[in-house]
Amino acid sequence: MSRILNEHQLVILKELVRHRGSLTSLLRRVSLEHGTPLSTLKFNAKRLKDLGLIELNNKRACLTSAGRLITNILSYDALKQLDTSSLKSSSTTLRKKLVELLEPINGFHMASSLSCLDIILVLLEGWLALGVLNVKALILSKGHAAPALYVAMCKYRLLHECELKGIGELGSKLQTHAEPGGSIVAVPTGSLGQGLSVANGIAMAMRMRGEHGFVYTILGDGELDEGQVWEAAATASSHGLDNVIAIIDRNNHQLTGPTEAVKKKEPLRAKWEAFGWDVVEVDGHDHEVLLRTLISAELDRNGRPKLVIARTEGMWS
Amino acid sequence: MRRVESFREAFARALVELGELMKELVVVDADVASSTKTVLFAKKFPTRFVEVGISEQDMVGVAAGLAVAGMVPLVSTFSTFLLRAWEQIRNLVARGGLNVKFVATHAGLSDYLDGSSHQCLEDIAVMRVIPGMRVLVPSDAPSTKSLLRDSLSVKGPVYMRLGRDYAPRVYDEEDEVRLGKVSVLRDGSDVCIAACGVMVSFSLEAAKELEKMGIKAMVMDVHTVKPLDEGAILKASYETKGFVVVEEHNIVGGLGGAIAELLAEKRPTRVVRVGVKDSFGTCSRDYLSLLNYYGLSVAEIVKAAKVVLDEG
Repeated sequence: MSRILNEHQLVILKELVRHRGSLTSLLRRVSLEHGTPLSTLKFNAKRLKDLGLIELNNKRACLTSAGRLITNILSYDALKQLDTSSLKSSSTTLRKKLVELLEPINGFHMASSLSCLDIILVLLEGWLALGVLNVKALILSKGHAAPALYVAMCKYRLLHECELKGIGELGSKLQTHAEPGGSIVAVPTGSLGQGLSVANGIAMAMRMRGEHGFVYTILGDGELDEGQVWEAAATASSHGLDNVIAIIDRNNHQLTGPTEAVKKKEPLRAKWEAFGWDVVEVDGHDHEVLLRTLISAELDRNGRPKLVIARTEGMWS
Repeated sequence: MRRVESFREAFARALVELGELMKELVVVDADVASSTKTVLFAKKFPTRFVEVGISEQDMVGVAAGLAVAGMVPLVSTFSTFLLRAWEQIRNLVARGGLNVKFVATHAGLSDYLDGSSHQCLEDIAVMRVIPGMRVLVPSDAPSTKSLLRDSLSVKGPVYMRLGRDYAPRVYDEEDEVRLGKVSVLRDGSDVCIAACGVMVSFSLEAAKELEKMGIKAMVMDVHTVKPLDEGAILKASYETKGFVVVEEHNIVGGLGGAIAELLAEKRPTRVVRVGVKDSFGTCSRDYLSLLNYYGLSVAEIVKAAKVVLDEG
């Protein structure tokens, strides 16, 4: 790829994935950040246009489908050098920690925390350690899985190990269901079916202000029973919120029993597609596949919100 | 005759003015913008107007997200339909202390022709019980504007309750009406008539009638039901012999309840509530007949004042 495109052209393509303003403003920024003369960048942008990789609409630049394909390939190239193998041992350690943490408090929704732990780990690793995900906010719609978020936050030093033990204790800031306060939790959850609406609101505000980045929300499969989830699903696609990425922790369980016995969720993929979402189904415990999926979801700014159905297991007894 | 204006139009015009000043003000609608009149804001600031369709629960969630991201969302719909999202208001907005403003129109019996599904007589009660929620009930067009401005200048959730189109003038444009402060509109030493919303103008008329009978009635506009101006109400309890509380709301849990709770604890005082007596509304071809049907009239306020003074 680098034989076809020079380094300036590669930088412009990569930046365009997330840029929403005029081409000139993008080139000015790249020029400042990389110390490249503006005239050089302008010449290369014209070259990209001639190659059919970018196009201009009312001075706004965007990638053509060929351009998107190339940026996708470039990111996979980059991903080959990314190492998610360390997450395997982290995951095992944190699972043990979750069990130790929750056993004294009647095993507080333990299976539900265990089933989404790998999803949370991949998100935080891609965001905070590897810097390949541009996460603006993370809403844990299934708020009862807050303990999984807390143990993962400890790994990334967003929380002290010593605070963890106090979960659910009188006076502790670590509430059993997620609440804001000095952490990455933006809104209180715990009442199901509300996280996607909030994610949409944040995504709209970012768009109003021309901000880059993505809003992630993790939903349980049980909470899909709530009507509000479907109100929000329609809002996201109606508003073309391609900066929203939802992940369903598809563990097939809810409080009373198997999801399909309590209230049918299938055909899950078809339902979300019918609501105007792009849907990918993956193994929710395969770190590398999950990370690749999320990176692709961020790259594909096609005006549609993205859903990842992550098939998981939570060790239900 | 008092000049009559429209609550929703006064609100919508003030909203456009405030939208010019506050670039972070965003209006969220659930397919009623032409009824709440926020369509004026939508036309002026299309990029700061969010339409979510007929989905009130989602609307409150979206507003919570906008607030998290630093915007100042104002949610507007019919009061009765906002109640559908009460749990989202409690759990997302109030529990998170988020800066979301709710302006509910068509409250009380003001949506007379639509009947009980659209009339809302419970909202003051269920909103004032939420920790941290401010509850405002403006009495006319100028105070709607003043209180809207104050709502946007404080941080945290606010619920403002408005009628539809019948708003007789109580204040002049330049009168000061401030969030959290009772407005005493008339002094009197026999009885205190405390009211909110459109009942304030009815109470002023009742005070004139009482004066003819030699009864001096104080009239106060308690537009801020929460936080209640306890000082002003306790002061009135020393200056008069008792209270009549008038509201276009169920007598259970509304302004009457709030004042009775305060007085029972701090200074036991006779309180007679004038409001809808634990009932739903019903259809009517005109608003004033409907108010009269439920005992929301000048005559009933006069009667209640006499009961307080043991003359009834």
